[in-house]
Amino acid sequence: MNAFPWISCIIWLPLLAGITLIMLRTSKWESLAGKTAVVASLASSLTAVLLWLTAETPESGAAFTERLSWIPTLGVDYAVGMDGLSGLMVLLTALVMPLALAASWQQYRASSPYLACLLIIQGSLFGVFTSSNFFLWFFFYEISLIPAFFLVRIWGSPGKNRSSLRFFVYSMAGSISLLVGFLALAAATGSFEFSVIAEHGRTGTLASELGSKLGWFNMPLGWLCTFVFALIFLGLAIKVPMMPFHAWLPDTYDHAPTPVTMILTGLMSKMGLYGLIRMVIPIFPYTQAQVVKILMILVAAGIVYSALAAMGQRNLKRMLAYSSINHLGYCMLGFLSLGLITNGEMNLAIQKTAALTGLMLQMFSHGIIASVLFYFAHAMEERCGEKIMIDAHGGLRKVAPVLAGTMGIAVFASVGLPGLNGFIGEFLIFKGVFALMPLAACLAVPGLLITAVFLLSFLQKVFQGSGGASVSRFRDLSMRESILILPFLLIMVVLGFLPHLLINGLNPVINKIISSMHF
Amino acid sequence: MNDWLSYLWLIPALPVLASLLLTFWPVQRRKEAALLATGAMALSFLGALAAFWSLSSSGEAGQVTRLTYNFTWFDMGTSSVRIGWLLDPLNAMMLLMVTFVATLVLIYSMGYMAKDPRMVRFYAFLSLFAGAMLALLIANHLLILFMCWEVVGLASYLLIGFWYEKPSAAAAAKKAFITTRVGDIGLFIGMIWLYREAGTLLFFDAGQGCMEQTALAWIAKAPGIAGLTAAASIGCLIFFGAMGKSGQFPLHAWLPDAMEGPTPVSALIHAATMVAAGVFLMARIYPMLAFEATGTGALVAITWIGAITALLGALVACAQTDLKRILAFSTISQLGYMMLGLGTGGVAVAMFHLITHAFFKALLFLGAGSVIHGCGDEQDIRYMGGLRRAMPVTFATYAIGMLALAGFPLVTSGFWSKDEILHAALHWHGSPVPFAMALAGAFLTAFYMTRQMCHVFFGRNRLGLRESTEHHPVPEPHESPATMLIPLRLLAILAIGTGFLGTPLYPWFHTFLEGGTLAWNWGALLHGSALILLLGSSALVLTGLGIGWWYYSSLVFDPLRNEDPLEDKLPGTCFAILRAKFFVDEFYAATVVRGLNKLAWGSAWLEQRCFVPMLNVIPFVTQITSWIMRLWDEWVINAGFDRSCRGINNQARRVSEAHTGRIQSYLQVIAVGFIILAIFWVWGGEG
Repeated sequence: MNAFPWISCIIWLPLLAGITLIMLRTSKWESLAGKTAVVASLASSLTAVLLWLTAETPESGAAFTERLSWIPTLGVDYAVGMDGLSGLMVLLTALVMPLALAASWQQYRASSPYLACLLIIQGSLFGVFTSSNFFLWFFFYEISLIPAFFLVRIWGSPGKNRSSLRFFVYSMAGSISLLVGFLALAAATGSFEFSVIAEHGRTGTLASELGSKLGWFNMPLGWLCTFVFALIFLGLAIKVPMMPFHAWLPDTYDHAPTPVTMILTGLMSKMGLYGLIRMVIPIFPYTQAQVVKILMILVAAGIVYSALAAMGQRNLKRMLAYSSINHLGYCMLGFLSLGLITNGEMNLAIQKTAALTGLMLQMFSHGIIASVLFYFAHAMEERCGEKIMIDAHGGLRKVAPVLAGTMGIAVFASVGLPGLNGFIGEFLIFKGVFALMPLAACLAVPGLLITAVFLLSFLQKVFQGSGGASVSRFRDLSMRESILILPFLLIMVVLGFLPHLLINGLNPVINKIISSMHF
Repeated sequence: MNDWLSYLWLIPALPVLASLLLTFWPVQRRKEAALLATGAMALSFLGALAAFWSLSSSGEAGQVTRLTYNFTWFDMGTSSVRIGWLLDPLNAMMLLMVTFVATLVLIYSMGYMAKDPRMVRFYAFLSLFAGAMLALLIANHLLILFMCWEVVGLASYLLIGFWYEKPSAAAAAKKAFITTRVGDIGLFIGMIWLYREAGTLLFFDAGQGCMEQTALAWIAKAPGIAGLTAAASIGCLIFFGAMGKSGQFPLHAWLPDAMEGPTPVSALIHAATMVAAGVFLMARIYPMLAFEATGTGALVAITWIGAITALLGALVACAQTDLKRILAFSTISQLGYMMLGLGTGGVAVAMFHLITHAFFKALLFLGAGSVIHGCGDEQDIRYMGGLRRAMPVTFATYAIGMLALAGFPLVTSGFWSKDEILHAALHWHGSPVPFAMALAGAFLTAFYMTRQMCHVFFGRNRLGLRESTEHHPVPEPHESPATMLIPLRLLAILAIGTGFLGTPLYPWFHTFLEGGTLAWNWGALLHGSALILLLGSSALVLTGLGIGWWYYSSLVFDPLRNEDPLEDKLPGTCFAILRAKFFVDEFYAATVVRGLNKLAWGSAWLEQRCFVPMLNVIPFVTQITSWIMRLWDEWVINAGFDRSCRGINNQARRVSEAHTGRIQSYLQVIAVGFIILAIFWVWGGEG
């Protein structure tokens, strides 16, 4: 089975289909565009899910590995593979992309450029999550940005021009920083392979190599290492985004077509976190520790602040955007806690394991929950024909009980209600962070409360009470929409009680990362 | 040996299953839905009976038997998270009580909700609640307990807001969820702290659990906050969660509003079971609180909060006019007694009052529901009156419940359980004040219940004084259907009977919970302080009843003109303050709610006016730079080349929909700006 390039299939099928759709952009082909997009996207997603199900990850390494020589002069290979973390993200992509495509169906089924952009994003996301060297990773990472830019720029709502430009420029800034950082690493270690660079980082030779190979401005070794770390961290923190590098996000999420927002928050924000776990943790086990405490306080404050900002919004999409920043803040908190120096206390390995497990679960859960919430926002927009302002509605539960009930489940998952998938990740993150740095955990905890406040206020205002102006023209979820959303609600409930369905697949990679840390 | 124990999960699973089925149940099959839910609940009751019987027959006499069943939930890294369930006298008792009351409430709802179009949904929510509550009881793991704790909170939210069209109900539901979640934040931190110190959240695990000797000795040694030990600090944090759930001052404000829900919900969730979960939780972690090295910090806090709540709730209840809200404040007050009992006397004292209270308070609420049902949804006691003739069964059972709550001497269960608490408070070493507060509360309880009885059942009927409209003709009071009266009768029997399980003469309840030998102890009643307390509290209760009767029995009352008799007797604005519930709601609205809204508004403003405009600088700078670059290109470098290529350029411009051509030049600027930023940032990190 390994002989067949399965991963290349899931990457290149949508990519090539997307490129084909752009090339064949004539009226003759428009009728076929929708079908092509659905077939390519679903085939790739189904294969991806099957890959996740059948993957038998070896103790240390990836399944379905492929390696072809690509640019020998640079020592760059085309190398992909799937370990537990990749598998999780591939699964998430495979789940969210069809939902985004379905949400776009009503409006854009005949628009081949739109569909092409979606397909290219899908392919490049699979690429990002399976690449095993930086060069290839960065290649896909950048490719995904271009269609995302066009999706916002062309099909967005008023204000799209400025926000798409900001999104692109800000992301590009992050990318450059990443690139510079990684070129430095590659120059120092002579390789783009994650595993090779990580080995240098783990053994501690990285700093001296950086010094001897680069020696920028005669910087002290520690500084140099910190600087390279900062470059890479900043690039990824913008993508996540981590407060205070989030300013591109609310406008972009608001002005993007809502199906695209689903992808932006559900999947593309995960590229940043994925990169942090894949690169920063293994490569900079020492450097991170120097700044991590300050960063953790910053992130904890950001969690509360973004929850408050969400509470202050009147526009549903903006509220959900800030809520996303808030939830990703927990991820950042979990990630940063891994960098704390633990002075040889071995029992803290358990806490770091918990934080890392929680971080991965939270990535997956947030991907599902946020995209489902934006899906509902989209469904409501379709019904009202305008942006959903929270104060302008009321009593919708009466006319749309199914929508209210299903969205209610998603909202409570976002609140972090135990028994739904949002809780266990948050719990494990807090368990780990509290043991490692109680102050940061206690600072961040009010975020959990404020999230409940604004989400329940939203439910109260929009669905409960007596009828608002929109009640008469509102209709419930159709059968098609209900069937579409049902698997996602099932995932929320099932993972709430059986998190090991995901955790079991993650344990090898978690053990690998934790065991490579120093305590 | 304990094969049956592995099936204990069936007790909560049955109602959950019923709830799942009912979610997809056709809405018109109302009767079948009710029967399904009630049947599942009754089966759970039988299961609880079997568990109770098996527990009492296993183990040695005089010992507390504790059976656990633990298993691995999931592996995490190299360690594994184990969960499990347990059965001990504490939760066996609770299981019996919850399943029994829940079954009765489900039967009762067949009558009460008969005309509601969403009855199927109602049963689905109630079953969900019952399942989660039962799972909470058998959980042997604090995280699992917390998860169930939140799910019962969700069920409570859904049921308080069951009539969501009413804005007040929707607001009350949100308030309940948020207020209890404030408490849950404390519980959450306490839980992860406990996890850190003990390394496990299993309560009992053959000596390795977090409530067992080894772990406790470790936790009690570790330093905590504010000079307490870690164990006491964790206890306080967990108690904060219990305060939210159990309506303890100052987190009690949600409970009166929760009365917006249908009355069976108030009876089951907001009187008998869920609100008692906080007391149960404290009883669960009592080994940690009472551990010798822990110090008394947490128990002192529990005692004081309990005493304050007991008195405060009773005071406010004296001046309320809503039938259900009076009962809600009395629930708050009684929950305060339970906490007081737990702090001063331990698990058995608190749990005894919890069980007796569950029965008589469920009785009172179901009776109140019967009254409201019979009076055409009137809830204001000032418009009731004289119902004892129209509703004889309701009157008789309600009177029994009221006497039990007031603690009528010797024959009612409330008397015996409250006596235990008073006794424990009297012998508490900390301070005599909680005891005095509890006594005052007991007097007030007798008084406000008499006030309510006189308003509702005696005197003349005043329903006609409410202005009637076309849509709301003056209702004719009538007795409720049999489905509602049978639960009342059964609960009335228990409101009397359960008291005799735990009298000092034959303290079966205490020995069941705490071990020891059970024997008739004729001397227990007669020795010094016990006898004085018994007589004293009896006298106090009788005085309360008497004063209440004196004030209100001859009440010829016109709610439009007359003042409450108590208003005349109390000096100044006392009555108004009590009527306004000590302005707690107003206080929160002016401070917490307002402050949070201000903060949210401020954050949103900061985002809009500060972060986003700052970002605008980037495109601005890039655009200016790219403009300069373009000039440079056009005028200096390749002016001639450009001219010749203009034709092609025009063509290209038409094709490209977005001006992406400039992006490379943005990047140059950004790269420079960014490197400056990064250097700056690194310095910030270092400094």
